[in-house]
Formats: sequence, C-alpha cells, structure tokens
Amino acid sequence: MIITQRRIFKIFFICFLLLVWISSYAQKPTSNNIINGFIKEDANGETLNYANVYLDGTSLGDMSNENGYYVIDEIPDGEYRVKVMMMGYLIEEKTVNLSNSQTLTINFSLKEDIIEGETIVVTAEKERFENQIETSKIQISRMEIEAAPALIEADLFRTIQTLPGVVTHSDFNSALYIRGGNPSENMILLDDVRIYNPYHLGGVFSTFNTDAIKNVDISLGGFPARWGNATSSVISITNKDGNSKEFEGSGSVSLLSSKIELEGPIPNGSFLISGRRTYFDFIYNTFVGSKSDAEVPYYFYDFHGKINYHFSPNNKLTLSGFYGDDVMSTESDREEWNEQTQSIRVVGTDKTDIRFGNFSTTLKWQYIFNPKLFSEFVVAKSRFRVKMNGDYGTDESTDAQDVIEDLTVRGDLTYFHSDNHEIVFGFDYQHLDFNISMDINDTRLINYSRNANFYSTFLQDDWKLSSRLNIQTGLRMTYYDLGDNFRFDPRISARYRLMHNLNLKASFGLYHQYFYTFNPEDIDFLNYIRLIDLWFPIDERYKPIQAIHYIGGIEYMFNDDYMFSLEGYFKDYDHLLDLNEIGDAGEDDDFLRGHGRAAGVELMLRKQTGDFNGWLSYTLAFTERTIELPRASYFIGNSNVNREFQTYYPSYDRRHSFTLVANYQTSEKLKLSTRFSYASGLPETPTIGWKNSYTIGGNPNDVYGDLVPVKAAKNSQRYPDYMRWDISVMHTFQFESWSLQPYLQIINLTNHKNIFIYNYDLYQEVDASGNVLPAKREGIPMFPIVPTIGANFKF
Amino acid sequence: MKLRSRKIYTVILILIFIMGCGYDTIEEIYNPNYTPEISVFSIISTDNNQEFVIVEETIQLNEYDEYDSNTIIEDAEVFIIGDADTTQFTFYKNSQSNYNDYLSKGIYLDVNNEFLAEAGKTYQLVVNVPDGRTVTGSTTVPQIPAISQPAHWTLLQKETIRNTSIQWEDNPNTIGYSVNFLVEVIGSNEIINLLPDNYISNSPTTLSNIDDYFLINNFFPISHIATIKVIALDQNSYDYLLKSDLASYIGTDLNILEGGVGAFGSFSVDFVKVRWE
Repeated sequence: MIITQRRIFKIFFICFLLLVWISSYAQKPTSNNIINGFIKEDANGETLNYANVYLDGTSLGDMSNENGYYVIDEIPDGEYRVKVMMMGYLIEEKTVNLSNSQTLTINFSLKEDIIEGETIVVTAEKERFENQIETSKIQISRMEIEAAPALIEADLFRTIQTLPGVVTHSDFNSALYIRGGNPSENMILLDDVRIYNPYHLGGVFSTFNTDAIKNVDISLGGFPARWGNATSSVISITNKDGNSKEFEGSGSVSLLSSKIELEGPIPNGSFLISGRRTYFDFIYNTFVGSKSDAEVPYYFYDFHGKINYHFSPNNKLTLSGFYGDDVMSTESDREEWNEQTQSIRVVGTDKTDIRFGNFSTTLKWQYIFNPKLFSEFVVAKSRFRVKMNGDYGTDESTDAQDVIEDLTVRGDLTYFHSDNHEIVFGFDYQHLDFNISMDINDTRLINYSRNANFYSTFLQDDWKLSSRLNIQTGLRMTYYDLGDNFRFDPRISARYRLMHNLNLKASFGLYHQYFYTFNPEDIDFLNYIRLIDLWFPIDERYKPIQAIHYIGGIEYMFNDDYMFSLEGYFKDYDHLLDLNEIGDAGEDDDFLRGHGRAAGVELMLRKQTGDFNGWLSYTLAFTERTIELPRASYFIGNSNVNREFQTYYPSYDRRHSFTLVANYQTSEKLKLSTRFSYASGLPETPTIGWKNSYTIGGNPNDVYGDLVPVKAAKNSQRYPDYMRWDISVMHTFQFESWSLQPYLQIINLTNHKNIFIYNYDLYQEVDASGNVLPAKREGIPMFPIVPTIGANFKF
Repeated sequence: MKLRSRKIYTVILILIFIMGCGYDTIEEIYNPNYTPEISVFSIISTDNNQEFVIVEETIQLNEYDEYDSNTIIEDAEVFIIGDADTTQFTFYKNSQSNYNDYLSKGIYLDVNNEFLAEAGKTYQLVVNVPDGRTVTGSTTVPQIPAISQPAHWTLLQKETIRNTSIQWEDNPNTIGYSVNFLVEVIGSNEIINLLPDNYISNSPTTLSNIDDYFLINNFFPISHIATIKVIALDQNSYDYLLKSDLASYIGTDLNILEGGVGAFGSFSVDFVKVRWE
C-alpha cells in the first residue's frame, strides 16, 4: 500500500483530535474548586518558572511551568491561604474563599528578597529538586553565564561546557559534545525554533547574545516524548519577554564587540530588542591597517527581537526573531603584466564575499482553553545558510551556497487532570529543505537539493503515584517521508524520594534523528574548527540514527542550597553514519554505516545561592564507535562487497574531566569569579612513517609512487592533558540612574600550553656533519594567557 | 574596601606581566617506534599486459629523502599461485628507464610474459622477504564483461558520438565497471583515453562524458580507429584505483593484504574496435 503524504497527515490529525477529545471528556465539570494563574516578577513582569504555589496547611499545590503558569484543582470548599515561594523572592500570599466548584484566577507578582549586605541569587533549584521527574536536566541562569570567565565576553556554550557530561574539544571550538554524541545530535532551540549552526567565528563563540537570555534548560539525556529528532540532548534557550513595567536598557563594551539591549512596555504587552556587532575590523583597519597593507576583512553581528501582546490574560501572542551573520569580505587589485610598458598594471578588482549565519522567526500563540487545559501553538521558520561569491574578472566567478531551511508547526497542550496527574500531548510538523550548490563561471558543478517532511505526535503522562514515587511515561510517533518510515519512541522516567532530601532517579528512552552533519574526523581542519555545518537528510538509502538512553542517579540536597548529584548513563547507538572519505565514485557510497556506545559517570556539587556560589563537576566517560572502513566499493545494494569495520574512540572521547566554577561577591561592588578545568587528553591519529601510494597505467613502465604518510590506528594516541585556569574581576559603580560594571578577565592565567594539534615534521633533517636528526613534531597550542577588559552598563 | 580592590587588581596585573603573552609552538623529538612494513602492489588482469609486483619497504619519518629514498626490496621471493600452477616473478631493474618509474627503481616481473590471469579463477600472491616476513593476498578475477553493443567496427559519427550506447554482460563477481575510449596519437604511439579516468558505470551506458575536444578540433592527428574497453574490477582493484587523493593524504588506507600494506587485485577486460569520422 502506498502511503501518501495526505493520508499520513490525516492519520496524525485524527490522532490529535482524539487526544483533544479524550482530554475534553476528562474535564467534565466536577464539584471541585480550581485556582490558576501566572507567577511573574514584580520588577519587570517576566514570568517565573519553577515557583512553588500551595495552599497553606494542605498538601495541595503546583509548580509553575516554563511559562509561569500554575493550576491547583480538586480543592474542597473553604477558606485558604495561597502561598507562592521561590528562592530569592519574598513569599507572596493571598487569602481566598472557595465554594460551588468555583474557578479563581490569581496572578502573583513576586518581589526580590533584598537583604542589605547580602547578594541574592535567584534560583529554583530546591523547587526543581522537589518537583522535577526528569533525569539529567540542568538549568542555567543568565547570571551564571555572565559570571563565568570567558574569552573576551560571556558565552553560553562556554558555560555549558563546564557542566558534567559535556566535552570541550578545544579553546577554538564551542561546540557541545554531550555524553558521547556529536554536536549535530543536540537540538538547540531558541524561543522554540531549532538553530542549525549556533556559532560565530568558526565555533570560537556561540551565536547567542547573553544579554537577551532569560533562562536555559539543558537536558543532557533521557528527555521526554515532547522532544524528538535528536539523539543526544535538548538545549532550550528562552529569551526574555521584555520589561512590561518600565523602559530599561543595558549594554556592554568588550574588546570584541559592543552589545545593546532595550526593553519596555507596549499597550498590553512588552518588547525587547538586542544587538551585537564586532568591531575588531574597524579598529584594526583604522588604526593599524591604514599604516600597512594588512586588513581584517571579518566581522559578525546578531540581532534578537521579541514582542508580546496579551489579548486577554489567557490569550497571548509572541513574535520573536533572530538574525546573525559572519561576514568575510575581501577586495584586491587584479593585476596584469603589460608587455608594452613592461610593467604590472591594475585592470580591475577581485572580490570575495563569504557569509554564513542563521535567521529564525517564531510566532507563538499561548491560549488557556480552560484552567486545566493550557496550550501553545508555534509556527517557526529557521534557516542557516553559507554563501560564497567570488568575482575575479571577465568570465571568472564562483557562486556557492549551502542552505538548510526549516518550517515548523507545533502544538503542545497540557491537561492538568489533577494535582497528581498531568498529561502533555501535541503534534509537530517539520518541513526541511536542503540545498547545496556550486557554480564556477556560470557552470553548475554541484547541485544537491532534497526536502523532507516530518509528522510527529506525542503523548506524555506525568503521574504522582504516591508521595514518594513519580513516573513520567511518553510515546512519540514520527513519520518521515524519505523512505516511508514510521518510528515509535517510548520514553519513561521515574523519581523515587528515598528521604526528604534524597531522590533516586532513572530514565529510559528510544531516540531517532533524521538529519545529520558530517565533520570527518580524519581531516584535522574540519574536525577541530566548526566553520560551517553541512546538513544532510538521512534518505531512503539509510536508516535514521537511533540511540537508546539508560540513565540512573541520585540527587542529594543539603543545607537547602547545596545540591549533589551522581548520574550514570549508557547510550547504545545504531545506524550511525560517517563520511566515506574514499567514496568519490558516485552518490551511492557517500556514507559509512556503523554503531556505537557511550557510558559514563558524572558527579556535580552545586551551590546557587549566597555570596559564594558555583559548581564542581567530574565526569568519567567512555565513547566508542564501530564504523565501516572507508572504501570506494561500499555502495548500497552491492551484496558482493566484503564489508569491514573498525572500532575506535572518536576524537571527542575525553576520559576524565574536572571543572570548578566559583563566584564570590566580596562586597556589593566587587565580584570575583574563577573557572578551573583539568581534563585528560583527546584522541588523535599520529603519523608514524612514509609509504608509497601507487598510480598505474597498463604496463610496468607506467607505474609511479607518491610518498604519503603512514598513519597509526585511528585515534590510537592521545594529546597531553588539558588544563586552564581563568579568572574574572568585576566592579560595580552605581550612579543615580544607571550603573557601570567594568571587568577584567584573564584566560589561561598559568599560560599552560594545551596542545591543539600536532604538526608532524615529515622530512629528513641532517646536522652540519650530515647525520640524520631524529624526527620531530610540533605542538600548536591553544589560547595562551589572554587578559581582556570590558564593561557592562545598565540604565 | 577600595584598598582591597586595588590590591586585587595590582596582583592580577603583576601576574599578567610575569606570565607574559608567549605563543610559541612546542617542538619535541618524536619517536613513534614504527617498524617499517612491507609494501606490495600488484593488479593482475586478463588483458595481455606484462604482469608485475612491486615489493618495497615503508620508511621511518626521518628517512624520507626526496632524492635518495631507496625503498625497494631486491631479494624477495614473489609468487602468484593459481589453482594448479605457480608463477615466480623475477626482480628486474632498468636504470635507463624513465626517472622515478618502477622499472628504474626495481620491480618483479613475469619475465617471459607467460602469466595470463583467467576470468573466474582465484589467485594468491605470496611474497617472502629474506628476514622471514611474508605478505599474502588473494583475488578472484571477475568474469569477462562481454560487450554486446556496439559491434566491432561500428562507424561512429563525431557529432552524435555522445549518444553511443555501450552495453555488456553483467556478472555477479564484479564490484564495478570502468569504461575507456582509447585512441592513438598518430606518430607518437601514445594512447589517450577520452573518457574520464576511472569512469565507473553500469551497463548500459553512453559516451556522454567523452572529451570530444580531440575529435572535433584537429590540433594533432589521432587515429580514426578507437578501442572501447570495459574493465570489470574486483573489490581490491576497485577500492585501490578509486581511492581519493585526500584519502591517501589523511592515511585512510586499505587493509587488503596480510602481513603488509598495498594491494593485490584483479580485473578482466573486453573490448571492441570502432571507427569514427
């Protein structure tokens, strides 16, 4: 039977209607009273998630979700004090009288708990400890991102790299290798839309402007059925809605860039805009370049914007957008030898323009059908493109581009069945276009174009079975039209509260991913620098990448603000793909197939409140991949081919990682921060000798050899251990209506020479007496000691 | 408090100056403890070419001398063993040959040109070197890809030559087929292939990729008789011939032989002669 797209769409639509009907049926009126509403921050109107809302003297309560929404139902008639608690805020309470199945909407605005002489760090760690079922989920606040020392300016991915389970590849690469997965296995969402290449400057910086970030949720594994099309992790970045109470602005100036952010109220809503641009090109070209021929032809910029409009308290529309580009543009004189004058003359200008960047826009409609049915519908478009144009005179031009475009339509509905039972369900439609092309002199040399449609629906059930045991079950069903494939991904997580401050957690899940990027490990440049990501759909010839996550761990909270967690994981990968570097014969042998596994133990001790806060993490990890040996003959369907596999540690298999991040507010004005990382070395493939590679004609006198390096077994050697100590000092000057925070940061304070890559000296050297000298290799280090200064301001 | 802040800044600034901003690379003696391996290469065929085997050693990193790297092993025993017959290959060196080809460096030849691989047969290569090491490899020669179209001596018109259909008999032991369109440059004995090197195709195919520049422009004379050759490759020869230059550089090489590096593969050939005008 041929399954058409229309039929698939109908099946999914019917499933979705069925779920809505079930939830409608389940919400038939009862005699219970309901309280619902939003929790917001008093100062700026931003919603607060993970706030505890409860009825004093009862066991009834709820935790606000990621939109700040809460609902408490099955409340018997009577008088109650509704209390809202969140660390860092004053307790808010209101007294209510409920009777006759009344539904009451109460919104709370929490005021910051400012105690003179003490620094308040807003945290929801305790609330999450008490309510969160999922394993491996960590939240990072903007304050933590900004406090952590980083090269030149605060960077989200650099902060995430300090968490357990996240491997840092090098100082030049902010890509996230999480629990044995490569960066393309992470789903990185900015305001609910996937970002496909979240880097600037070839991966040195992440693309997100930290000034605009409200919070970041990181699921290192075992994420629930709500998320799909990723086999490693989900990183969800939510930008601020904007201050709905008053106009305010902030910004910063660093050696790299300047940033500005403005936010304020609009009628029935708020707005936020922020932008950043580097200016190293301006400075260098103005002050240095004018005195020499050299110039810096590179800059990047990004822009975030968000507008919220409330039609009513239950009806909100949000439009957000992100645009960022890296630009490298050069011009040089085109010279020609003039025979008549016997001199070089300029005959024109050669121009090269390279741009790569992301564009995304999201329209989100948040609607509360009734107090127990909360919904969000999203239409989002995301695009990553690389564009390269070259104009080199008459009839000489290049035009190349790589584009991935994503149109997503998604609906998430949460049905609050009771205080102990919550059902989340929804649908997800994704249309992806992949285009790679290259024209030279108007002749098309590469033309790759595919599109893919994904239809998903999911059902997720959070059930508190007893005061100690919570279980979250879920099922995600996906159909994608390249290969007519259905996939069913079951997920389950459980939390058992052994003591009031000790949780046991476990989760299991099946995950599939339908598109992928390839950064060949053996090509050092592509492996270590993430200049661009070339995304490909996994088409009819291959199966989608599959990972099974098994996770178990404990969480222990003590002194109300120290959290200790210990987690172990095992990931079983199948249908992995890698680039076939020998496959130059045609389309059929592009990729190698294989499987893999990853396992590890992670420890984390975290303190989020008080003058002294930070975290300490240690990870022991093993990652192994078994992939076909590169061969030209591995085209699909060739049953005669003898397939061989090799097992190796991928280039991001770091065995031990230790990180300390500490922030100390010595006074109201002075803040010290430090970050120390020590990690065992990453694998590499050393060059060990020379051999001939033969080119042949038909006869013995037609055979030639070219010496090429002999490489040892893949990734059989490791670089030396990595160590880096960074510090940061920040001083606040408070003026009447504005504040200024100059800062000094020093990266790699001990100037430790961490090896980035080895350059093998392949040629024979002799001394003055003609004796052959031993072979040498040259280690190219990462960042040396780098002091940087900058300043933040707020008005 | 201000004094305390100043102290902290001062200490940090002093630290910066002490550490400096050196950004030197780290050079170190590197001894990978690599024992050179035997490198062997031979591709046998049903074509009537003289078969050969290259036997040499790989070298240590610091042994590479662009002008004087003698890697050839001259005193090995080299055999190709068929079902019932064994052919010994003899070391041969012709210093008058072209610089840097293997005839000038030394190569093992079937001196009497008696060996001719038979389609469908399995052959084993055995190389024994005096220090006791042995390299072995095996290949099964693909069946002859009998060409059914075009027929011998078909007359092709250069204006429509790209539409010429080539068809041959598929056989199950072949990994891939390479197609050649060979013409002789008159007066030089040089044979040139007007199809791309390693042009891999399945039957039927056309001459759509032919470089008809030589046919259309009469810059130098080429024979009006051409040979269309279809070469059926076994997996070893297919993988070796088609590996990219990039793969050689990055060291992603083939492990085809036991006890050494290199390749032992085979191919079979069928051809037709055609005329063109």
